[in-house]
Amino acid sequence: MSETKKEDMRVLVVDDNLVVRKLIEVNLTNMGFKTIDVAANSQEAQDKIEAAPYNIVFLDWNMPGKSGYALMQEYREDRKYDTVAFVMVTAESQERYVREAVKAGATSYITKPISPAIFQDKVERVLEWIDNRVNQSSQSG
Amino acid sequence: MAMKDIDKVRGEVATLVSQTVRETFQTMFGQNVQRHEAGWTGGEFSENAVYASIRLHQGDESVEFCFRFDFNLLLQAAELIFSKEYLDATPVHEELASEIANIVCSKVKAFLNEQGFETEMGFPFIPRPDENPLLSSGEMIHMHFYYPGPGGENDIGVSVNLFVDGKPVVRS
Repeated sequence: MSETKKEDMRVLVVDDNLVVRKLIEVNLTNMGFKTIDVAANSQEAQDKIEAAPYNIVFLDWNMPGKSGYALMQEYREDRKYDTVAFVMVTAESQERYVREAVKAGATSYITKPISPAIFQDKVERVLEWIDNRVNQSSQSG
Repeated sequence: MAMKDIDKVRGEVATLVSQTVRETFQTMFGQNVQRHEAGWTGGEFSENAVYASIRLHQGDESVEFCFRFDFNLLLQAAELIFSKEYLDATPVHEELASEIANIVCSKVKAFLNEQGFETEMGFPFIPRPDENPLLSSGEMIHMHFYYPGPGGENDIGVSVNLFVDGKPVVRS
């Protein structure tokens, strides 16, 4: 179990589809998260991420305009976002997409249709990843 | 492989569409939607249908999936995640229809590409009211799914049609 308190975490959900944003928000609320913001496209996401940091960012892989995948790649090149967990959300379930996402720096990968049980399990693992990253960061810093 | 060769794997595509439609409604909304195989004797499709389409393209060829959803089926799903007040103020049915179409077509795209096609998928769109994709000629797949409707009887909840598009490919 993660040491991270869910109610203290800031989460951003980025998806062009209103229903997906709401489904993820409902799942997060059920898990105890309190601060959940949403963005309908990459530009809106960038504005929010750069205005105030988030602990977890859920990103739709395919969106009109800049894709969530491209957005994640940009942030992964900036050390400032090393402890931010980027979770790719997509209907693409082929193994090569999962490998590609992880290679590009995704912390986790959730496939649609979103199952609440699998979603919660993956988010718990993401919280453990954040714990480890924060610990590593504080030790090296 | 040319897009028209999808006809050679239409049985597998139909099975995959059927599995994914059922799985999507069950997993996301806990709704039991079943494929109608033959001899339909249930209720009628609601006049209040919601459409969503997606094109798969390969080079200049394309095929189009058209989904038609019963308004009440989508309303049941929406009520599980949105408050009544929100739904009264914000129409979400087309967003819901688009997302289900997106999930189903992503699985089909993955299957086709494993078979040697090199398809790409466009974003979901809502067909214009004057278009009637479900009646288009050259259809490859046409199927219905039913669900327990608001009156307690089985109603047709989803229709899916796959046909050779023939329209110029518009890349997004």
